[in-house]
Amino acid sequence: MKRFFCALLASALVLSLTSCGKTEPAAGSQPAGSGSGSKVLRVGGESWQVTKIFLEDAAKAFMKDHPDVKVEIQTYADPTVVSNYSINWMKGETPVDLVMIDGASFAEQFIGKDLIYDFDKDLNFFSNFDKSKFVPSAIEMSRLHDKQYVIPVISEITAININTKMFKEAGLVDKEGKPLAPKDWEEFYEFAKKLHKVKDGKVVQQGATIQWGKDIHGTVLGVLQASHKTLYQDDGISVGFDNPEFREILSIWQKGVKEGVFSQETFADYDSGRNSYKAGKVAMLVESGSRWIEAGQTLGKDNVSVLPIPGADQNGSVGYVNGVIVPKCSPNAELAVQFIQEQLLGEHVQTSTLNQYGKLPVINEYYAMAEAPDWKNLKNSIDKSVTYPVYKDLAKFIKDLQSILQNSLSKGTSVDTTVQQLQDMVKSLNK
Amino acid sequence: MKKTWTRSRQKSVWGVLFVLPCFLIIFLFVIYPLFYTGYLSLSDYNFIYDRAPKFTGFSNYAKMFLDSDFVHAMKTTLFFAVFDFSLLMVISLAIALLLFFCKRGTWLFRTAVFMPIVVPASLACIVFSWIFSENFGLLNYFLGTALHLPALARPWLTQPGSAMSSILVVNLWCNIGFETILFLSGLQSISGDVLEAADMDGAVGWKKLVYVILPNLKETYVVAGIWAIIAALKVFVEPMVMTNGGPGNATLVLYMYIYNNAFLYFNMGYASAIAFVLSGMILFFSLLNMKLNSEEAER
Repeated sequence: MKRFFCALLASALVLSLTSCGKTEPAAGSQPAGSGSGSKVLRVGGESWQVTKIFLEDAAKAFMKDHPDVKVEIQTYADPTVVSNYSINWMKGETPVDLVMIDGASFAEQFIGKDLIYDFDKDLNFFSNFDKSKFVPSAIEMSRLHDKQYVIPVISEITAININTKMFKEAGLVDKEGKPLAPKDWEEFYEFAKKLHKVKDGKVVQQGATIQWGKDIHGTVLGVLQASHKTLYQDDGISVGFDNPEFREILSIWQKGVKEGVFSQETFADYDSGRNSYKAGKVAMLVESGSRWIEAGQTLGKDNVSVLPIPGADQNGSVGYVNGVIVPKCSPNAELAVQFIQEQLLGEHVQTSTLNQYGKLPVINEYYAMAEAPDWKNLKNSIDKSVTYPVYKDLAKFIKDLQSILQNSLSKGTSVDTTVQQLQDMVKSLNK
Repeated sequence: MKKTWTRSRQKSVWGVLFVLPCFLIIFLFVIYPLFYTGYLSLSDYNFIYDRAPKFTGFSNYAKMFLDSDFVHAMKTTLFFAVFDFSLLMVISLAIALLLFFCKRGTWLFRTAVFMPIVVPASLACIVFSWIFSENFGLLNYFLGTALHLPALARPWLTQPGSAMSSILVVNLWCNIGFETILFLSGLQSISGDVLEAADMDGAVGWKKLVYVILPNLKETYVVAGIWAIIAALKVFVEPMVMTNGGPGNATLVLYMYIYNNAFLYFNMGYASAIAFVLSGMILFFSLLNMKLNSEEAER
């Protein structure tokens, strides 16, 4: 008897190792409680995307229109989870049928191993969805290696989010009371100086905060495009920093940081500029042009606005998209395409995300439904915006750019040395 | 004889069966990854672009010492580790001695000292990031407004020098509790007879501490020392959460550099090689710590 129980216990211990993993339900399997023959569409997104792109609303509307389909929204904590999907996809399994990604270049990691669909050639996406409906820059930003691996859902560009109340107090408005847009970076610096307030040695109103944290590439490349009309050197591939415009901007940034007029707080905390802006402590915030809509909820819609960065009206800026990809091992690719066309690119998602969270629609016609007229300030910037360079070493480019520029701004390294370091860094990258 | 041998063999078989699950877990999650990482460190392998690792020998190790970022991360890590180790050991020992000799209210002081252990490090770092915030943080508010010393207020996390100090402070806050437990248990294990004998011989106060108590903590120094070395060299959460390796690369430590290479750039081969170098450093300093303390004990 004793031996029998010992054997039983040992077997249980060994067997417990085999049941450690959670078994995902097979794709397309019938969920409990649903009708017979129903399909399940699994949509993956980061928690902020689920909220700001109204994925839950989209799911409900799709299920209402298609009673035989159940849409499951799976929230993932951060983008590294999406990278881990490739392990499943290489085995021919997938826990999701379509995935929201932050930045089209994020899909690069799946292209090399042929894990995701080309929406155009493989799924005939544009056979029943007119491509001309898209904002041209948005569709271009989501093309990789001349193929449509990503369908854009929202886009963002670098802009100046402003506190209009502070602008009015400083007299930086035109005859009609509209805030003045700085024409160049020297004027931006002068504006920041006027807007900057210090009391008893403590900053009570920051003149300007520029995104120099982990999204520094959006800022720097946006500024480069706006000032120099192109991101690239003569070879058309390597990003070029060695030009008079960028040198001047760098010099102004160093001056602003040294005088305390430009805050360095985003070095350590990527969200600090946005949080301070929403708290009414910052007059100008240079980062994604969606922050002013968020700040309107705390400061009042009449006290916030958005302006293009100097030069962006003429030369555009740099934008990036959040889009969707569909893994090749998904058994519900056609259903995923339907969901994208009917809901994600539909009126409710596109207009709600613009009016409530400031994320730009990728479909032209929905700009007319913008509640705030201030979006007109960015129209030219949006139309002329370009995308990031899609390098194999893009992640290294971003990290090294952050490191070199932060060193330059905090230690006051000479402009010549900084530009040389940036050029050398670009040269060393695997493009 | 045959009966005894059979019974003994039966016992061995049962013993093996019970140990087997544990061994399988260790093999799957420790031994196999260790050897596979070793293989990757000798290979060129980008997880995204390469179908399989390509064996290249020691090229990753050679490349490392020509990589300015690696050299910088190594220097930053060693610089941090020296200060962190020293302060961790000294402060923990001091607190443990205070708790050991304190007769009243020890439960309150112990709770206060041990509390940081139960707080997740990443959570602590987020809170400290707010405290250290330049314009709206508690620390600068306290210095500027409460103490009227605005000259002492500074951008703690966005200037190279103060960023490293801030990370050091947070790392000490997170780890002092555990080190104190180790020293306190060491102090409590000193025989009462030894302390009584010291009292009778007239060794009191400072003399008792230096000539009786501290020498009796040799074994504790080994354990606490190894743990402190690991905590110092493997620092990751604080620079990752509070400064992201910045400003610039002022707080870029080796562990973070491994993370960047493995999970941002997907260079698994190179990251594995750096991981082995870091492991080697930890092993070296741990063995050095053990040797120094065992030599002292032999004297």
